[in-house]
Amino acid sequence: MRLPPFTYNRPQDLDEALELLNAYGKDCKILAGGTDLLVRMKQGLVAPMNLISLKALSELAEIRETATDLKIGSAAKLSDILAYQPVQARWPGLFESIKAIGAPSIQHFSGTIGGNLCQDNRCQFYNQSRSFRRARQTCNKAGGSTCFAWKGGSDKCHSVCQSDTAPILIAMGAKVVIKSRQETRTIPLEELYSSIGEHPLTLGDNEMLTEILVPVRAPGDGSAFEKLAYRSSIDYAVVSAGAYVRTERDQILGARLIIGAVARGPLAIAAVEKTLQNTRVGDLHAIDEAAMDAMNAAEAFIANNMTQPVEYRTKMVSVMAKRALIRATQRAVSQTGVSEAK
Amino acid sequence: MNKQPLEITVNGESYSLAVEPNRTLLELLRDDLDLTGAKEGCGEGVCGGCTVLMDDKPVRSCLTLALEASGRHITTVEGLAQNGELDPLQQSFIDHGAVQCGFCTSGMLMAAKGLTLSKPDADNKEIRDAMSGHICRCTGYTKILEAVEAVVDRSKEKR
Repeated sequence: MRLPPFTYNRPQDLDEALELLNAYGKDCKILAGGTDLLVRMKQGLVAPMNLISLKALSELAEIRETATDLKIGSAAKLSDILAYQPVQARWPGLFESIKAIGAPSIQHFSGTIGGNLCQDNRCQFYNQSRSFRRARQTCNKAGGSTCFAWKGGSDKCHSVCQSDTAPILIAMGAKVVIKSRQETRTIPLEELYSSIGEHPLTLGDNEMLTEILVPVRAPGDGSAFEKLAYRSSIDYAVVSAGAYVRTERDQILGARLIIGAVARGPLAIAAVEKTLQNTRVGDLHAIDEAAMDAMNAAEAFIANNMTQPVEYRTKMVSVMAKRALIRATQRAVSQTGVSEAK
Repeated sequence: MNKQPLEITVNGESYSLAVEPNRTLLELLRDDLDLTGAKEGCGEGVCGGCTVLMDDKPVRSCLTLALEASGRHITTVEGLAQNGELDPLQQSFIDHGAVQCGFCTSGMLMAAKGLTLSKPDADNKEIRDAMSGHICRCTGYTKILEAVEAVVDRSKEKR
């Protein structure tokens, strides 16, 4: 498969990159690892006139721990984050989510954290070759006016956000830094997602995600990520779950659960906070109830956008939610990271 | 389309080339440099047939722009044998019958090479992890994993 033509830009610093982004505007894509963008270009889903490569921007590849945050540059490679020792011990959920992305030789040495967060939504009717798509009408996401993934059709796109790192990072309360030539803004990660299938990110045409800030691990908290995929190495998630739990002695003080791969953006399950608050650690009834909260909330969003049946994915939401919550709670109590807990 | 200059080292040999921006590393290797060891299977990063080492790390050459490899050292399967002697991994693949049709072999070898360079004492789980994301339709994977394990075990004994 050939790539369509484009001009290639490799800015030497961030200012130059933002300047280019500002000048090109809509007609431009940022090239980080390329494992999402180049495939879509080969399939003829996008044909940007200009690419801006982040390869030379070492300032965006930094990973460091400060007193308040783990700061990860948006172009940091997934393999470098896995190799950064503190992540395994103190941000176990993040470690698990990166480990769950594809396979080492596909994504880990090329793919970046910013690329994982900013990947386009996916659907089994959209992410296909030209010849596959030609057999049907054009769908909403491709500029037409129908949706094959929603029973009875829809005037909205029901593609799914497939980022594995987004659910756990949102659960852990991560923020992202977004820059344009004119301004810098820091927003909670959940606000990066529009929950609109056609354009899933809230980034402006001249804006770029530059940094991810993950709060440091506090005493009594724990995180975990669960992903269900048919073949772990090359498949996107059927359902994923990121859980963050805060405890004090044997009480759960608070919990956040984000379900991935079921809705147009990462899906926050608000009811879980209430269900688990002030319950005892190890109260499996409460965890079961929280898992049902997740399933009931997700049910309304799951469309036939993957090859697995909708009913199966709906049921699996509760399973993934339960596993993630249990493991996050165990880690919160024992204060362990990935290696000790697994 | 405007060609752009590219300095690249492939299997120890440096090249100064002019390439089109939309040329992938795989197209450059196969069509311009006649190194046809890396294969195009899916072209989407799924199958692993096009895997080469970039600065000793395995990457998909079908999803890497040639220009993105500027200044890097690329190793393809053709660069594994040194002075007419096969790499221990290549010999082990032969000894264990890990090659059938051969289409996936160059990608498998490069993933294994990447692992043995970065982690010579890898355990079996790490080997499986490193070799995941490579599809083989003939061998059933067992022979391939045995071949890699044998090389890793031998290097452990030496240490």
